[in-house]
Amino acid sequence: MQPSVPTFFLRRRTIFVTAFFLAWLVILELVWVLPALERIKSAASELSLQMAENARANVGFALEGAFRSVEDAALDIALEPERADKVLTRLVERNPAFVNGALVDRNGTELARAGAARDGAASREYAKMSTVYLALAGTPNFGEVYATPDGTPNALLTVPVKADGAVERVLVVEVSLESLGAIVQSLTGGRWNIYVTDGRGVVIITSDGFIEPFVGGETVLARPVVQRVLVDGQVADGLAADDAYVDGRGKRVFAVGVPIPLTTWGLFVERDEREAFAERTVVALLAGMIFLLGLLALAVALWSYWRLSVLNERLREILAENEQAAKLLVARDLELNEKNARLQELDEMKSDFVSVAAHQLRTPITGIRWSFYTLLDGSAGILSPDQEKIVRDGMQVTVNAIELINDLLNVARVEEGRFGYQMEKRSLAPLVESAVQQAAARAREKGITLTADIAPEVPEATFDREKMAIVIDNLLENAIKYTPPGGRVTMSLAGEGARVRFSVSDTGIGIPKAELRKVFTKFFRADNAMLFQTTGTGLGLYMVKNIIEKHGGEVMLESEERKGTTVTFTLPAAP
Amino acid sequence: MNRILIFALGILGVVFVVYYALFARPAADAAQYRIGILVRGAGYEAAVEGFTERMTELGYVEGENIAYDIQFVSDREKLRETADQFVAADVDLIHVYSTPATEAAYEATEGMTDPTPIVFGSMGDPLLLPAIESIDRPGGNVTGVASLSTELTARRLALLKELDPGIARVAMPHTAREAGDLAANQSVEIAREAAEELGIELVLFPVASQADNAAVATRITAEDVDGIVVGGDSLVWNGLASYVEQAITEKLPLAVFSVTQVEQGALIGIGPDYAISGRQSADIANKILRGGYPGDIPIAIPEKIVLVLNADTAQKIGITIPPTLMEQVDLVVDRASP
Repeated sequence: MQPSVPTFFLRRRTIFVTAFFLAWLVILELVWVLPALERIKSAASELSLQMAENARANVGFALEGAFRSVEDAALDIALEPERADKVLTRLVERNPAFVNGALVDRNGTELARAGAARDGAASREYAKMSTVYLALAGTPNFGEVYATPDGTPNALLTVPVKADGAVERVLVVEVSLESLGAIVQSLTGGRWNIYVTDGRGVVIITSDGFIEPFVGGETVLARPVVQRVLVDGQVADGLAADDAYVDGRGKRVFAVGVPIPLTTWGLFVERDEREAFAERTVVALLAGMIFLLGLLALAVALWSYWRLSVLNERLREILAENEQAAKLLVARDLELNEKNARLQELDEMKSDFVSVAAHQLRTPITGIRWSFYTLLDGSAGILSPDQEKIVRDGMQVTVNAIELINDLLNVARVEEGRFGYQMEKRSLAPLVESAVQQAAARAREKGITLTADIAPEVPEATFDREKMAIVIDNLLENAIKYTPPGGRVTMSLAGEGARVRFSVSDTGIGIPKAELRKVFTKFFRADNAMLFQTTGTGLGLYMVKNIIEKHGGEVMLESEERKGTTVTFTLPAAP
Repeated sequence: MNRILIFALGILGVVFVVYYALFARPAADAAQYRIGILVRGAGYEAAVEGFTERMTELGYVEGENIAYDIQFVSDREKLRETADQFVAADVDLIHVYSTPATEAAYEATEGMTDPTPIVFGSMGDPLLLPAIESIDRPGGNVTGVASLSTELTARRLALLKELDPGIARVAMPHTAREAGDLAANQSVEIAREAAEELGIELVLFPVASQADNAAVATRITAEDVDGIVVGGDSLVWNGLASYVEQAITEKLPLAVFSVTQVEQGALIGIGPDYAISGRQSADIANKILRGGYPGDIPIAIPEKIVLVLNADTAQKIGITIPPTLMEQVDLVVDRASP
């Protein structure tokens, strides 16, 4: 039974095959899609990191410049403490970013000062500044970033003044970070957003100049990318899953970050995630198309598989039927073989019977003929005309009987294979000429014109003379027998390539079309031949066919009722 | 068919394993952390609170992924014992307050192949500890937030001078030198230098034990001093109540270190805002728990140093705070704590 589509797909094998190829499809997709997505992300990270490095270099350069200037001033003061005022004044005057500077001792007392005073602010409480204590411990540092009344971010750069290896004083310089803001803004293009945070994660500089309030300012330290930079001190390349986040404007961004040297600050570069990974959409679309194509291919494969299953099923049914039929055929073949053997046995018995019967009949009938012959030749006295007619009729009947018996005996010998052949290579022409001569008288008696057309160069053939004579005599006799007076019988003999061709044509009664297929069977006599009231055994053409085929030749018959018959045989020419 | 099925499933399994190994990302770290907190001296409660609060903000939630073992220990011998217990319990980090506690923790981890990181939330002068090579790069397994308690001893003396420019003799109780308290000893040295600069006579009173604080406080008041100053000295801090009581009784200005100590009744104090220092310590602990090496993490200075005044005590001892000094005060405590 052929599987229906639903049944087919519920089969365990089908489910397994489908699942297997689906799994492979998914895996093969992932094998190229995932690395491709990674590469896109890596490329975006690289680009953003280049931007960040560039910004860091610029910012770091500015900070380092400030740091070196203050460090140099500290060295000068250490060497010439009495010139501290002048050193400080020169320091502030030569650096536009320096608002003011002060030399402070361990107790927090200001020893010297230069530059503009802080607007509206009392003198600094250096004794409470961690930046001062850090410098007193020997570590130069940028202190906490704060906003001036006009919103400019400033920071204190504190550098130790080392004398004889000890730090008793520090230089505290107020540095405006406005220039850093300008640097960051100059580096920012449409796609990028850069911001700088202090060590607590409070944003101090952004690319659009907006500066968060520092006192109680909101920290972005919760962002993993910021933690990686500020807490771990590492470069955040944006490749970690949690490096992307939603920014203050509600936009999902991809970010990288780098620590800023000489400070505890971090610099971060944001980019719209969709824009940064735009190629991912292309890859995803491509992957989707490939997956769909894969599904389509799988569907086609499954459909083909279903079709094959159906055909397979059908084939199995056919094979089963064939097997059944084959068994039947074998059985029938056996049956037929048995029957055939039985028929052969009967045929042999029949041939034996005919042979024996004919043999047994020929002798007495021959004797009867001789008796009629004796009466006819006057040896037993003169016969009256009536008596002579009776005797002649009787003689004819015995002659016919003997002819029939001889034919039967010949047929029996042919069927038993005792019809011996003595093949010799010779020309058929003499045989044909002899047959024509012998038949001429019969033809004249019937008023039939008998002609022979023998080609001058007829190839020799290998044949049994006696048997071939039987053939020619039979054909000639039939032609004359079935041609009415005034008709014509023509014989022809010629070579035809590698064959010798002989034919006898007559203008006789012909053979009905429906009976042509039986002309070479035993005892055949056409219905019109019976009506023609001529004698005959019906064995002549059977003998002709048998003898010619034994010679490797073939015999053909063409006939049209009331027009005539042509019998032709060909023999292979002798080499 | 079954063999083909098994073979094909086997191939699938191998492919999935390879895929997982190549492309799967490891699951997020769900580590459980244990921190031992060792505190010696009074006044650090705000710091510990600040520390745990900040740790929570940083994602370490007690009971979920972090556990604290907080031990307040005054006995110096017990400090080492407690530190050893932390080490035996294989804590991920030891957080300490005070120089003796830091020393005890360091000694407990000394000799370990992979020493437990130590983060101090208050240490007078970190460079006194042999384990610390420099402020910028400690180098070992110890880092943290300096308290400047020793450094600010000079400032405390200067405050007393500002309060009373005629001040001549100032008493300084301190841990006896033989006890080996580095911060206490350093504080004495700084106080001596500052006193000399300020023209003050510094009168030293060694303290042998916590119980000794009461007796020393009594002895101070028997002396003719104009004020009392404490240094970065956790033993003295532990017995501060005695000094506060005597100072108020004798109407002597007492300059201390922390907000808590001023709240206890001391007149004036300058020191770190311990709540902020505790938070700073938490930031350092976070770096270490995220994989940072303590030796590479610079020692932090307190972000906020506050000048605290007890107005109630000022009234009790009959002292008027000069306006210039008043301008510097960050926090005024109105009453003494009970």
